[in-house]
Amino acid sequence: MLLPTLNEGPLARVELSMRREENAALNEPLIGVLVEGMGARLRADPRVLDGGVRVDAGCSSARCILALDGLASGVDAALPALAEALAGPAVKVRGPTVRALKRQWRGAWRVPPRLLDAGLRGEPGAAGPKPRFRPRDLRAAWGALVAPGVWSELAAAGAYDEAAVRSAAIGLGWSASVPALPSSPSSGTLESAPSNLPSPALTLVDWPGATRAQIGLAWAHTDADAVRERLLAGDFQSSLVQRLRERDAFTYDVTPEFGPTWAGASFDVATDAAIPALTAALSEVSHLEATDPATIAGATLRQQSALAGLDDTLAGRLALRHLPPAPSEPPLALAPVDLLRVVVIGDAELLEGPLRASFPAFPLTKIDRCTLMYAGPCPPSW
Amino acid sequence: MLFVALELLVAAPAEALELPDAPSFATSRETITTASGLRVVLAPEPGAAQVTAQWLFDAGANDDDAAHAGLAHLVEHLAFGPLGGVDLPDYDARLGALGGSSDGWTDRERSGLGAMVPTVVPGAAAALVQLEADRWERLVIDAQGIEKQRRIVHQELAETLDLAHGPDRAWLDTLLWAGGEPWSRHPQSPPSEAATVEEAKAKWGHMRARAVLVFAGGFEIEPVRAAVMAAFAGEPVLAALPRGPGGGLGEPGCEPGAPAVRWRKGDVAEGALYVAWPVPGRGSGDRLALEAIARWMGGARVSVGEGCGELVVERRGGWWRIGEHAASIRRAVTGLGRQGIDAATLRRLQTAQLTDLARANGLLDLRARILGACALTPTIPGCLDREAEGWLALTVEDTRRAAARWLFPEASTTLAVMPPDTEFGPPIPGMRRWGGP
Repeated sequence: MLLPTLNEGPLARVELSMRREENAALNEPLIGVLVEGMGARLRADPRVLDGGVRVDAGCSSARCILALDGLASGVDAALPALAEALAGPAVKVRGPTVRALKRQWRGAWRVPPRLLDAGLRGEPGAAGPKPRFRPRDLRAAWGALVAPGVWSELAAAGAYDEAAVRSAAIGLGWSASVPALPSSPSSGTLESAPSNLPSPALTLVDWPGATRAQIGLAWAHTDADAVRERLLAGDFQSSLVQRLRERDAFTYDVTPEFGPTWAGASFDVATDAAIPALTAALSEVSHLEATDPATIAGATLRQQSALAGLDDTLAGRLALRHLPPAPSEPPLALAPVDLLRVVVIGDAELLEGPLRASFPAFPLTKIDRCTLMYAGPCPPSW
Repeated sequence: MLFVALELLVAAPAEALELPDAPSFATSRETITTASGLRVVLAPEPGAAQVTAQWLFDAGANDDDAAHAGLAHLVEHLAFGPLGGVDLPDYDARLGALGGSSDGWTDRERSGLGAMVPTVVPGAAAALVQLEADRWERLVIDAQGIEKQRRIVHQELAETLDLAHGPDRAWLDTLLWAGGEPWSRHPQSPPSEAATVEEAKAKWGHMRARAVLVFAGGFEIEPVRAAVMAAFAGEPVLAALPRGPGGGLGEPGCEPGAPAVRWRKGDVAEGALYVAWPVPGRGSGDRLALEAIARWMGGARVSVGEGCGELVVERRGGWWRIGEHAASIRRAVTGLGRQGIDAATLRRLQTAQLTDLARANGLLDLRARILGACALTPTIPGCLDREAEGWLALTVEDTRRAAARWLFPEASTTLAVMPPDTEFGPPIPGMRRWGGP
């Protein structure tokens, strides 16, 4: 699908966007290798280097992108390089890239954000067994993910040469028509949640010797809940930032988290502050329904402002197509939070007892870092 | 950490490449001076969806004396506090009610505060003018606020240091610069327990005396000009505190430490190598060439202030590759000192830099910050049009001369960081030639 958007200015962006959420069966490391490998190949291409073009390549839980971004003249000149990179049978990923990505996969258990992501997704071992990066596996993944079809689209924004982009797209099999896409998850209705919601699963990820703890919360989310998420963790005025930073000084920042069907928040605290910080965070989440209308109105305005700000960049403008619009009026009520998971990463020797004592209703699972990432203990050589 | 492989950049076509035309960075703007002596830049952009206010202060962490390290950063945090009275809403609460968002930063010699509100809010621009005027005139700095923000800054630093390589740059600064020099201190040093309310107020006054305010975005210039002149009509700003020393590289305030090679063990999974040089400040004719060199090397950064700065090259990877990295960096700077960056590669770097300037100029808040920086130092390259001209005019000889003058191996300071269970011996050949153990 080709969606040209033109504007003034010297910059242009051509972006291949690949949807992942409905393709969960695809092996995650393989997708990362494919996209990163194609990005590395493009970055080394003289046509990209000559034009000072930036190559953006990477994956989130929802989407992978491969994009050329730079001065319009440079992007136009680099289009043939993109077309060649996308030519399926010729897909090649260089050895050094594969080795680097294997090292990243192997080292992910030492990276707190990767651990938090795995814990909040609620999929222990999602990183999977050691991936195989054979050429035929890469070509099969390309065929499933990158090739023109329902799961991928090519879009452009800025002062690009429309004829050149259309020609490259059509040559690769994209059409300029708009096929029917599977609909997004339906917007939730603002009904009260049943009062007998199960307690969230509490996962304690053991990091022996850690002096600080990373804490994450995940709750069910739909597109209609964007204002609620902003109220909870989306900006400096959010209740979690105001409580955990400004009032209690437990942490410096609260990071909003997002998955395909869940949203959440994470923060970093000293180990001895983990229990009071988590207690405070859960209190804020449970009191969401008491938010006054003026605060909801402010959050709605900030949501509108944030989406308007995305329009300042070509990457943001293309990303806006995948985001739900901000409500034109503040919501009359906020859906209560259906808390799914709580993740605490830290020294289990110090945290397990206090967590069990403070949150007896939460089913607690203790897990080591490698089992969380790879569904098994780390090999001794790591 | 990804970085551009040097080999890929060096293996370039021999023929000269045409440089693209420099994008136009011209921005319609007007500078006024209020009754209180504050310079305000107005840069309206009809149709923009947001309005931004950006403060630029020609003051930063290096203005703190050793006994009050961290005070500038603490005051930046305090600048979002109560306005007019302890029981009145603070700056962030009032901004949030407008649908706005805020930001602040403290660097070594500059700092800033920023806010953005959507123009969909009726009277957004006027409300933002009044809010910034209230912060300018009526910010409350008291012991309670100092204590609260001191705890938050401690958390900020703790999170940074808790990262695997978090402490590395702080270590490097203590090696690269002579003891007691402001450059040897981390810009986000923990604020001193001794900082008093009077000292924090004096620091805020010092920042106000060295400030420029920029309004940019979707507003009509006539009513906003009138609103600014009315809102900022208070008492003249007090004179700034004397600026610390820092006349130039090698002088007090910018005195480098003795070149050295040091090792340390950290809670890291892989190794890291940092090679750094002291370099001249903002007004030096070699500044852009040094930035081009940093860009060429990849994984490198140049930070400069008025009198001096630093260029740091960083390499990550298995600890067993540290010697290899060191040798590679040595070969690179030695070659640069003889030949400079080859013409074709330099053209690519120039094109990439122009693209980045155009990209930065496309963001409302960055565009406003650049206007503020230009207002602070109008005679020194830093404004985008002059910056672009400077980049386009760079030659191979410029890069050779800059490397030969400043980046020779014997002038460098090196820090190698290794996992805790690593043996430091036998000496790694690349490091030993540089004076390592």
